[in-house]
Formats: sequence, C-alpha cells, structure tokens
Amino acid sequence: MVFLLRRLGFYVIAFWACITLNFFLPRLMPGDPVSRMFSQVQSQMRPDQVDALRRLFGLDDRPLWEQYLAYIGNIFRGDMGISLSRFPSPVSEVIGSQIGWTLLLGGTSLVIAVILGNFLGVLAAWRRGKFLDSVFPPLLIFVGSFPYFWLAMAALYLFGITLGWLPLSHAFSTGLSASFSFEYIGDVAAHLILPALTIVLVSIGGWMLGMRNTMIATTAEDYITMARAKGLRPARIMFQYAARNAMLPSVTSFGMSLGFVVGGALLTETVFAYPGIGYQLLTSVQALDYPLTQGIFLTITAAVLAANFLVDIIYVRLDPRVRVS
Amino acid sequence: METLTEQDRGNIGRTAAAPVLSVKNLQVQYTAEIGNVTAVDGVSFDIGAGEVFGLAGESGCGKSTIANAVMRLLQTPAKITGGSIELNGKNLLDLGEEELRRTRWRDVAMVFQSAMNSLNPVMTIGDQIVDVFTTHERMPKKAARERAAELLKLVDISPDRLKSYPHQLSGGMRQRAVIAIALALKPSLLIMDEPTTALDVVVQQDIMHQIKELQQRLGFSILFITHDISLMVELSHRMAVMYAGKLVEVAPSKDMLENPLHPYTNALMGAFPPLTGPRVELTGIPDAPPNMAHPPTGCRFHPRCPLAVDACRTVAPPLLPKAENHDAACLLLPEYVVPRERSRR
Ligand SMILES: Nc1ncnc2c1ncn2[C@@H]1O[C@H](COP(=O)(O)OP(=O)(O)OP(=O)(O)O)[C@@H](O)[C@H]1O
Ligand code: SF4
Ligand SMILES: [Mg+2]
Repeated sequence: MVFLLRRLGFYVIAFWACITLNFFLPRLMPGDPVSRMFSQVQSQMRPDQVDALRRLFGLDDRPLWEQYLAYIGNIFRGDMGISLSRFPSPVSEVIGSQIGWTLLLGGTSLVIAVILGNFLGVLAAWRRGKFLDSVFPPLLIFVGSFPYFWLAMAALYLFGITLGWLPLSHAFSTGLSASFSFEYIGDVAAHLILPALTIVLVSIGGWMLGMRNTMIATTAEDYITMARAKGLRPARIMFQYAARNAMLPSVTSFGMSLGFVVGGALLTETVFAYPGIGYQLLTSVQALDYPLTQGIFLTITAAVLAANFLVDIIYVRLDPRVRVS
Repeated sequence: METLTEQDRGNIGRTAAAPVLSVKNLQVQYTAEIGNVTAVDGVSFDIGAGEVFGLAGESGCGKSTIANAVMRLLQTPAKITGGSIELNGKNLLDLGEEELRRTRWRDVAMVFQSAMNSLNPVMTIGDQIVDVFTTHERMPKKAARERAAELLKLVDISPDRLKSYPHQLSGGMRQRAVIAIALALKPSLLIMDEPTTALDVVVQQDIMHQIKELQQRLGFSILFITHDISLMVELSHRMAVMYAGKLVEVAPSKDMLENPLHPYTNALMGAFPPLTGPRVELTGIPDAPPNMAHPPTGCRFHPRCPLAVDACRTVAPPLLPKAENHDAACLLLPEYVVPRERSRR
C-alpha cells in the first residue's frame, strides 16, 4: 500500500511537471509564433474566442502566476482550448471523437499480441531448440521486419480485394449508426480484423522473443531445479514456477505499450482509413493547430502515467517482493 | 554393471542390511567443445539405512555432479556414461521420465547447494510444501495444509509462516523451510549439497544440529556434501574423500580424522585447524587442483603429492582396503589383510 501511494505521488508530480512544461513552452518560444498562427484563422473567429486563445498562449496582460493557475484550472476541467484546424470544436471534443477508436484498435491488437506472443515464448523456451523454437522466432522477426506499409497493403489486397472477406476501410459501414445491436457490433468487429491483424503480426515477434529469452534465463534458476527434483508435473513447473516468474518483465513492457496505445497507430489509420488519434495528431501538426497538438500530447502523457500506475497495481499482485510488509 | 571392480570388493560386507543407496562405477561426462570432461570417473559407494555418509573434496572435484546424478537431475551437457545407481534396490538409470518423477522426492529428496535460491519467490512457503503432497499423494488441499503446518513445526518454524513468501524469511529460516519440504514425503535418502554455505556460523551450527536430531528421530539416510571437514566429521558416520573425479579414501569419519591414510586426506586434515579453531575451507593445499579436461596420468594426485614416486605417474591406484573398514587409493599403502581370528568368526 505504501509502495502504491509512493508511486501515485510520483505520477502526480510527473503529470504536474508535464502540464507546467506545456504552459511555459509557447510562452518561451522565440518570436511570436502564436500571433502568426492566429493570423491564419482569426478571420473565422469571434472576438471572444480570439481572446480565449490569446489567454491560452499567454498573450494577455495578466501576471504569469494568474495565467498559470487559470491554465491548471482549465486542464482539470478538461478544457484544453479550441482546435484551430477543426474550428470551432473544442480540443477535448476532437480528441473525444477519436480516442474510442484508437483504444479499440490499439487495445485489441496489443492484448492479442501480448497474450499470444508470451504464450508462444513460454512454449518455445520450454521446448528449446524444438520445432516451435526454431521456426517461429525467425519467421516472426522476418514478418516484423517488412515495411509495415507494405505488409498492410498486402493484407488489404489479399483479404479485402482478392478474397473479399473483409471490408477495405473505415471503422464501420457508412449508413450504420452506433447502437448496441448485433449488426453494428458485428460490423465494427469486421472492420477491426484487418487493421488489428497487421499490428499483431508486426508486434508479436518481439513479445515472443522477449518472453522466450527471460524464460530461458528463468529455467536456469535454482528453484526450477528444485521443482524438478520435487517431482512436480512438467506443466506445473512450466507455468507456476517458470512462466509465473518470467512474465514479470513482460508486464512492465505491457504497461509501457498500453500507455502509448493512446498515441494512435498512424500508419494503420492511414492505410485502412481508420479513425484515430495518430492521424489527428499528424494533421494537427501540419495545420499548426497548436492547441490540439498540445491537447493530444497531454492526453498521451496522462495515459502513459495512468497505464504505468495500473501496471504497478498489477505488479504488486504478481510479485510479492515489491509489497512492503 | 554386473562385473565387480576392485572398488566393489573393497565395499562388500560393509553394511549388514541391504544399502539404501548403492552407487557402482558411476561415470559422468560433461560434453564441451574443447573436449569432454569426465567429472566423475568410476565412483562406487554404499549408504546404509540410517547412515550419514559424508563426501568431501576440493571445489570442482565432482561432488555436486554425483549428487545431481543420484537425483537424475543432470542435463546437457552432462551425461551419465556408465555405472549404476540403485536406490532401495531399484536402478534409477533404468527409469523413464514418469517413473522418475514419481520416485523423486518420495524416495530421495535433496537440499541444494544454493538452498537460499531454491524457493520460488512468487509462491508462499505453504504452497510450495502443499504442491508436494497434492502431486505425489493426491491429497486434498486442506489436509495438505495441515501436514505442511506440522512439517514447519518439525523444523521450529511457526505455522503462521505458511503464508509467508521466501523473501520475508531470514536465510536460516528459508533453509529450514527447504529442509521441511525435503522431509515432506519421508524419503529414505536425503542429499544435502553444502546446505549451509550461505549462512553465518551460528545459524549453520543450529541447523546442522537440528538435522542430526531429525535424522536420529526419523531414521533416514543422508548423503552429506560439504567443504567443512570438521562439520562433516561431527555429523557423518562414514565419509569419502574425493579428488579429481575419483574417491581416494573411504572410512568411518572418526578413523578418517584420527588416522588419515591417503596423502591427499593427510594434506586436507593438516590444512585443517582443530574443531575449536577458526573454520577454513579446503583450499589450504599448495598448487591448483588439476584441469579436469586433461587429468594427470597415473595417480591424479601425483603432481601435488609430497610422497610421489615414479610409478605414481603411470599406475592409477585402485581404491582398496588398507585397514579395517578403511579403503584408500594410494600405491604406497600396503593392502590390508584381514586378521585370521576375525575372518574365522
Ligand atoms: N556445465 C558444465 N560444463 C562443463 N563442465 C562442467 C560443468 N559443470 C561442472 N563441470 C565440471 O565438472 C567438475 C565437477 O563439478 P562439480 O560442480 O560437481 O564440483 P563440486 O565438487 O560440487 O565443486 P564445488 O565444491 O565448487 O561445489 C568441474 O570441475 C567442472 O570441470
Ligand atoms: S599413489 Fe603416489 S601420487 Fe598418488 S597419493 Fe599415493 S603416493 Fe601420492
Ligand atoms: Mg558443488
């Protein structure tokens, strides 16, 4: 418990540091990029909106500390300003409209890659040098080293066009509206398969190899020898003694990846015209949409920190050594 | 292995009842790129029921290899290339994987050299005892927990500790927990490979006395491996001294201490302070132990032996009786002839 509270404290401070940096960055930039940015869109804005933006970027005459407090207050209310490129939608609304898809795609493919990859890694290490171990890692590394674009296009061509099994693009068919119906959920799932499959394909090799290597190191541990000496059944030694210990580093990498899911999968979104944060981030940078860029970065930061905290909680359950007695 | 070697003859009749463990002519090789290392070369010994048998020798002479061979735990690059290991009359080298799994821990258990790390860090002590019962005796969890609590009491650990994880116990407690796990199925043989090296002296003494007491109470046999000769003499009934993959002397421990015959044993004992003095490891002999990839010809001890003669370079001395109940492998020692009046009896 003490451990978790200490970690939580650390994350809160990290988040605060990040907000503070976000606040000072535009105010420290040389020249006046903000004014230049405004000139592009000012004509479409109402005076009060211009005023709000100027405040967001410190172009008002209030003292710095007052601006700072107001800024933090806004962040906690979820108010990250107004998007310039998607004017006049607020940044939070733009992010909100995309983040669900990003979480769906990134989360699904991450969970599948992690579970499958780790399982294959455990088996490969346990039967070291046998079929699974000699065929899968090189194969998956080979697949993973293809340019993603190429791989995604090939999958799209094969399953989408030649075989026609799966839809080509977007997250759901045009004309359908969101609902809890079979039709809608099935449609979303069908649209999810190809993009998720390609992500799993390129990332699973890393998980498998990582797990395999830790697992091989773990099987050399003395407690594995003792477990064998105890005459336990091989499956129990493999899972309860070896894999249970070998999965600990994987849990940490899982947390990292989970946080970065929020950043979206730019290439996948591009190839499959799938909605998501990655594409949104790209356009916001291209359009000099500073509020949106900042908002997305802040969201990613928050997600990474939250994911890490989640992993800490899981870790405490998995590894009794970090529990403070 | 039907044919008897000289070593077998030397051992015949030593233990009245059938031995619990009978190792004959054991040979173990490690396969390496630079050439095979025969780490154990023609080793034979018996351990009787209720006997504590010590195995001493410098680091790298092959003690752990013997222990792991008896547990059938050797993995590549190690391979048993000859001999037999009979436990309660059953040759362990003939057993298949599944039979072997059932035999392990039920008939022979082991406390490892690195006993500090032999507990799974993510499982409670209790679970690590319970899984022995649930695997070997198909015992329900609840009954297994009760047995586990009794076992902990046996080694003076409070049953509350069942719920503890290894890192929550002190080194000595962890070691005692491992001993408790080893005794779970009442094996007829317990192998202890330097069970206390990682512990401080006071805890060491404590644990060894406890083991001695348990051994006397429960009557199991022990194969006891240690660097610490004073501890070994104190604890074991009979002991063997090993040098470069071979046994060079086997005798009752008291004899070995008072009347060592082999020059190597003499050097060991000489390098050893009396029981009350500070403890020293078996490194007090000049020159390094031999390279096991290319062991010396003839008597393997000859490059370091103060008494070596020319013949020692070419003739390998067999382990033969040199006194009553006392075998040694040295060319200079005359063979023991059983006195007439005794042999008639
Ligand atoms: N994995 C291995 N590969 C090759 N040779 C090995 C290996 N393990 C051990 N050996 C060889 O086997 C010999 C005996 O090793 P063993 O561990 O049985 O010695 P030991 O008597 O138990 O030593 P210690 O007192 O240090 O525990 C060593 O000298 C070494 O040459
Ligand atoms: S045989 Fe020779 S070298 Fe070997 S111990 Fe005896 S005297 Fe020394
Ligand atoms: Mg050893």
